[in-house]
Amino acid sequence: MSVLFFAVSGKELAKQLERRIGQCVLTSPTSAAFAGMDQGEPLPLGKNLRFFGDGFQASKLIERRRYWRIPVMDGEFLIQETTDMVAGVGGGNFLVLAESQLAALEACEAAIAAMRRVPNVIMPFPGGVVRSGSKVGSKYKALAASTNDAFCPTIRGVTTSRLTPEIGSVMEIVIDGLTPPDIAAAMRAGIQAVVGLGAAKGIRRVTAGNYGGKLGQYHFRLHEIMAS
Amino acid sequence: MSPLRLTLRERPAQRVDLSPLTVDQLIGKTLAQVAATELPSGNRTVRVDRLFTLSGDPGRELEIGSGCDMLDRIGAGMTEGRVIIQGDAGAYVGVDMIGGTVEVQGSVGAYAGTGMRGGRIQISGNAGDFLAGAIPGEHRGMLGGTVLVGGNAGDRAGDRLRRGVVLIEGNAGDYCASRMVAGTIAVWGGVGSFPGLAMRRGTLLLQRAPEALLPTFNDCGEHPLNFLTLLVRSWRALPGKFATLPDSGLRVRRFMGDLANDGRGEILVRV
Repeated sequence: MSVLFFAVSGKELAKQLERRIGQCVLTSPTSAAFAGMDQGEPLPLGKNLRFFGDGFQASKLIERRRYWRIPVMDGEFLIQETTDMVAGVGGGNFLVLAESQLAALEACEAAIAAMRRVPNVIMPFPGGVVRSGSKVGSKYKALAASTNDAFCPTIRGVTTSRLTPEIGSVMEIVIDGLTPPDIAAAMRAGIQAVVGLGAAKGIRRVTAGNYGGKLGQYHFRLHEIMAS
Repeated sequence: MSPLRLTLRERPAQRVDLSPLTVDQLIGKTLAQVAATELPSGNRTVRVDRLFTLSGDPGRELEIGSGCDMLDRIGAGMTEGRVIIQGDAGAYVGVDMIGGTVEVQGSVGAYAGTGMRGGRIQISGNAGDFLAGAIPGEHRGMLGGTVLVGGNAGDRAGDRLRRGVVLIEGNAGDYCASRMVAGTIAVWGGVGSFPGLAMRRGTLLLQRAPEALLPTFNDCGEHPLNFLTLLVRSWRALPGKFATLPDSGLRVRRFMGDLANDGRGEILVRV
């Protein structure tokens, strides 16, 4: 199994990586952890986790890569000392506008199934589907983001809604990837799966949260992606 | 361009230090300059052309024809290139070597690979005592790289080994991996008495149980150790028997020690 980790900064990534490898991989019977990339900036993988071995850990340098052998109750946990970090692209997204919650969810699940076959991307939220899409800013100063009211069906009468009357539910798929073309490929696969279900399955529109072009340095234009 | 070839005229009466004849020092020299190079021998020096007949061109490859056990320090400190010795070599083959390859088609004397940091030494015959071991007064033996021995190794192989891989296809003598600090030694044949004496860390991988194990090594049972898969795969491209080891299903009995000296080393005996 290969895993891509994304975070908002290198420092945060280092922190999260150690925490999650320590809590989720180290703890899993028969597991081992190796670097999946060999270019970029090195990031500690087993470098600090080795201390879990309480002095019984041992290292082995094999073909210029250092591995740590940490004794655990099912045998040995083998982990590479470092992995590599590269700049990625986070937050590619598209919205599925459907007549009902069930229709939106079914379409998104079909999209996720198609997108998981695309390499170098992850859909970072549970199940890959997001129901709480956000906008930049809030009426509350402490919040940098808040609910995307323009796409919330239950308040369409009291806000500047982007929803037409037949839309009953909106769900979002968020994509993080190594490069913009990876994200575009995943979006294309997902949108094709959604469009394949079509109006007969209650799908009315596909759009994207573009945040007025204010968020992030990359813009994924759906028409361009689907035309390529 | 044919490689520079040195053929020994006759067995020298004194030991000769061949460390001035590494590829690094030969590149850019003419044949005449190589012929005039002085080699330390006892308390004198001797010209290369007094000992050898020369042919070919100095470059990245050096052949020493009719090698002999009186020729010491072949490949000392070399960083690149290839040295082929047709026959035996003396002591300190590849001492302080950083890169490149030394191939000995015969046997070598003591301390082959001592101080080595990288590259590969390939010995078709036997190796003397203290293979990849520390010379007296040094704290470390080999510090990196790979040493392959097709035949047997003498006593104290891997003494104070710090890093790198030593693969012995024949037998190893007594006190193999003595005072070993880290690194890997694997022996296909048998080992003599008391392997791992004063071993601190590192791995001694054996195909069969040693004749006598020190009481300061404790049996930790039989296990399939995952790292062996990676280790064995890293030997795939090497010549010799170790490339044929299966990379899955390897089970070993693990003895940890030497408990009289830190005790984090391991002797792994294949089961």
